Amino acid sequence: MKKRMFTALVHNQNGILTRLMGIFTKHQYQIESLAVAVYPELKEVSKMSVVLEVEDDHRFLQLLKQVNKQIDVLYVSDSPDDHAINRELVYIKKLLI
Amino acid sequence: MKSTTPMGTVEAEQLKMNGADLLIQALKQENVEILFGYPGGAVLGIYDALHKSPMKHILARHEQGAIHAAEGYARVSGKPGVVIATSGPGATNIVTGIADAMMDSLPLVIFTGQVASQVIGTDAFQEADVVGITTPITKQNYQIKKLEDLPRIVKEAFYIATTGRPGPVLVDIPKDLTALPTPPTKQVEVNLPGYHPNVNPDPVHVKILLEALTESEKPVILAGAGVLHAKASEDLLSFAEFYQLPVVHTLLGLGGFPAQHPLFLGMAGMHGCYAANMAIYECDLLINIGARFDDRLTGNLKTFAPKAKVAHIDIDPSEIGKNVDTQIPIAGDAKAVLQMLMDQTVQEPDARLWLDHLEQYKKDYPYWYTDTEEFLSPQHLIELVNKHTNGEAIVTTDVGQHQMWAAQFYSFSQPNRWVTSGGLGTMGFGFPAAIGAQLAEPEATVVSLAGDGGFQMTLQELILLKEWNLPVKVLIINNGSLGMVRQWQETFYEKRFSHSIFSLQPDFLKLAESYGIKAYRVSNKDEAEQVFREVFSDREPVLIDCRVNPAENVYPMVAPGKGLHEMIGVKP
Ligand SMILES: Cc1ncc(C[n+]2csc(CCOP(=O)(O)OP(=O)(O)O)c2C)c(N)n1
Ligand SMILES: [Mg+2]
Repeated sequence: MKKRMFTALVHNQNGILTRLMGIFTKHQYQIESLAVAVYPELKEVSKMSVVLEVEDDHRFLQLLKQVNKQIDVLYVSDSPDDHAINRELVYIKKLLI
Repeated sequence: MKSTTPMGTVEAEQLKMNGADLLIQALKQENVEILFGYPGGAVLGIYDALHKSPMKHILARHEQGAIHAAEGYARVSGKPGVVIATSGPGATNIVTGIADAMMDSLPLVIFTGQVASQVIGTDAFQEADVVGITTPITKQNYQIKKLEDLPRIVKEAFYIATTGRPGPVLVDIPKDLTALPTPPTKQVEVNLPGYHPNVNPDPVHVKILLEALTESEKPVILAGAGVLHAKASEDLLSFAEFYQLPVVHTLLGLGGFPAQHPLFLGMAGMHGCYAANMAIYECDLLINIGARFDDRLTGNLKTFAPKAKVAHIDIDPSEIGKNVDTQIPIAGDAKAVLQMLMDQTVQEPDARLWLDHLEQYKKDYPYWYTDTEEFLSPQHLIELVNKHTNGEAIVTTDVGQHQMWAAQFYSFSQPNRWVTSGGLGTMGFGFPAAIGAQLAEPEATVVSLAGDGGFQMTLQELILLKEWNLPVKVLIINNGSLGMVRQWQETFYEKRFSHSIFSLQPDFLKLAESYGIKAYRVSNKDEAEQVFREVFSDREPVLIDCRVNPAENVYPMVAPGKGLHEMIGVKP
């Protein structure tokens, strides 16, 4: 078992959080920690960070793909690297404008 | 002055619009021709708007009937099926159909009424959290919060349902919004920054696949329903013929490649044919086009295509590598990828020996059954239907033995003629789906092959055949039991037939008569031949109670946990 974190930027509507929680349950993951916040400068977008216990990389990848597939998910990264996320945010901003 | 000009009149009309009118207007903009639904308190406003509209509405007799009909319509026409149901029980009655459409990637747009905005969350009369209930079984769902969002949301719903990998989208509309006055709509734009349905296939991987193909000695194509959704049947045919590649189908893919074609090996999977399953087991290159490697197809994954390099072409990247290790992943629409594959030609594989070998399997181990004098064998019955319809009918089924026999013994020569519930395996699907199929193609011959069990789950829709003059041929494959359950109990539970054999059945003939539909009973070959000759030459609805051998089982079979090469019940 190792801890993995992934971050998702979500289009903040239509119960996207419920949708994602359902996917975790379906894939039999238990959440260790979950943080969700609206971007102050970009109210339409929330950033969500999830820490999970991961046993099997293949299964974890399937989970990420399912998360990424959701209509209201803009971006998923399983890197805890802030720089990468920030770079993406700029990209997302461009997409939204 | 202004109000006397035609333009002014139109404007005045539009100014009288309410939320429900706005919905109908949005449906018109999406070119919706037909709705399947059922009214109730929360959608009274929508139905009032429909009253003024010429749009065709099919009043099913149960919401489940409405949604399966919409699925049949979508499967055959390629257009989205549109469903309306009221809040609470109306919405919960369509849950099975939504899950079914999700599993089989059918484009549906579903509108449910909701209690008024002010009382949402108070357990108001007929309130159910439909968005919550349907979240895991929809591609996307919405609850409309502000009326001004309605046109955009409707547009998004149709866009999402029909693009990329199709699927059901639900829109929940609080009752009060349908009554609000509203100005006419302006042009609306979708706002879906996270949705990228058009994946561009990676040309590098396409090239790698072609290289693998050239080197392969034992290639095989596994074609799924993705080929049908992409309308890529002809592209598949050109590709297979150009490189002389044998083709096997999934259950849902049937019809994507002509069954009579010499390169066609048959359906693969649990009740697939030996040649198809062995082709997958023995191949050195497996080219999956638009199939999702469902467990009923793969059997035991440990021995699935053990010698093969696997290429997987799928519009949904999350399907690639999900169940089967994939060396050549190609995310993209089946048609686009097939065209890229045909854009450049490489040396065709030297697979003559392989084709001969498979041909031998096909000859030696076809689907088979033993005919008895005493009973009408269900397999023969399907062959007769095939004969009397030239393999050109639209065929719908429920789930169970009859479904497998239909898949085995009906020769689908064209795409989008086969309407069955594959992923969810929904009994009661077939008959209402046939209604939707017939509405989509009024000229076609539509045959509903129904289980005696499954038919009793949605038979209330019989009245629609009369009401809408739909010449659906309903054939109840009556084995007096939940045949597939009985078969598993016979094989895996030492013949303990627990609650799978009907001790009592309705008189299906009288039932049909009470709906004003002519009906026949056939119990042997001659009767079947005679009745089929008659009913398949007219354009009337009919119900035929086909009394088939109650002890017949579906073979061959890959038992649960076994690999595709371990089939039992193969022709001796
Ligand atoms: C709604 C639903 N309930 C239960 C099942 C489980 N099930 C699968 S096949 C089957 C038997 C179906 O009987 P019938 O419709 O008579 O078809 P047959 O197998 O006899 O051809 C059952 C109960 C199902 N697939 N769907
Ligand atoms: Mg039966």
